[in-house]
Amino acid sequence: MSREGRSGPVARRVAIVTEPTVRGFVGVDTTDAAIVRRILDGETESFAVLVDRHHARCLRLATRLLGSVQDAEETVQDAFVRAYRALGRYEERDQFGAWLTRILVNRCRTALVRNAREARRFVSDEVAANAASARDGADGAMWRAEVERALAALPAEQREAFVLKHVEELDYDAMAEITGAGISALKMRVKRARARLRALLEGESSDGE
Amino acid sequence: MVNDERDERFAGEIGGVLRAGPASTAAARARIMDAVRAEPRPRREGPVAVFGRRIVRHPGLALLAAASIAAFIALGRAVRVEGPVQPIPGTGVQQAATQEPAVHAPVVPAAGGPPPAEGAVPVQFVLVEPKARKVSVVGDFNDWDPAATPLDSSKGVWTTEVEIPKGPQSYAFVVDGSKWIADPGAPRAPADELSAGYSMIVVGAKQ
Repeated sequence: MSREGRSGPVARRVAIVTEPTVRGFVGVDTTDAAIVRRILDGETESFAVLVDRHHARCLRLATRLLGSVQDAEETVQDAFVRAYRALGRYEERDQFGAWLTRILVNRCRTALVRNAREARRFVSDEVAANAASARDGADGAMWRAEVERALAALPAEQREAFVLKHVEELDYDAMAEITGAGISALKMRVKRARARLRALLEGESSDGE
Repeated sequence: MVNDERDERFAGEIGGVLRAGPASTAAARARIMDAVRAEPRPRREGPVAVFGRRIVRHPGLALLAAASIAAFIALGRAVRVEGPVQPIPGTGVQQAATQEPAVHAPVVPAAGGPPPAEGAVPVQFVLVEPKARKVSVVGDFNDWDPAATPLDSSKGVWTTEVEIPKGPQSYAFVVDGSKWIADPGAPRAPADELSAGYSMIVVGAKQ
């Protein structure tokens, strides 16, 4: 199966996974900001709406940054709890999703720093060899696993920039807001990440490093 | 250039593969809500109340900050101060505010305020940034949360006090919610992939 052939089913799965689950508030403002107001007015169970809406996206982002679903689930839970604690400081001019993402990215950074597992988990040569095999094979799951391994082999700041740009599909202004890095630095990180990933997964030489 | 274009196309393809993340399960979301229910109910936190409380708690904070900044400028280099800081007559914020960028060092504040938790030491952070609309400090002590520890401003001098566990601590300032800067008055943290641009202090150590 070609990579082009795999991209179709992936895209459809994404649509299902990320579709917000909105609980029924008939005739009521159900924007994130309105729900935050309701929570601060005492309807604390309404936080479940925000969890439902943002959990899948947060879990995907954390998994890509941390390279472990288990670590990601713990970190996402931590981020939601911290967001809940800090809800009184949330300013409505910010998008709740962006605010939550800032908290999550910072929690992921802390998790990476604290985990000795931040050390690169995979040897680049191993990734390249396996990727070549997976790309030529018929197993889409194997190809995805190799892509994940290549992503994990990137330096953390390149991985973070790449995921925000090409997985979360954020623009550079939003990325700068979330990461605190300058736009020029982010562009350079993304450029280097792209080149490195292609070198790892296609065995192409690159001038990106 | 050709390589850049190929890299970008390839990146888009890789992004599509990685967008298929793990499933969000009802059980995981329920665990989050269980954890949330164990938390106190969040309450609105108005900036005026926060500012007022801190001013009452630290009536001499701005003066101490200005004095310490002026002392650093006079020395021509950033230094760290341990123990109470004495005001220097004839110095003020205006002189400090013309310096670019900020001059600051974390200091242990003068007596007053609640005692720190065991193993924690109160540290005062000061940043001169006259054009900033808001400033916060982030570090291991607040899990790098830009919303957790805002600084209060007096004529462009931003200050706050944080109880920090003893030992080496890396930190940075966040200006206007997005610009992360190292502390110009403190050593840089050991460089690793994510801490470039952060600063480092050793809390509780003689310097």
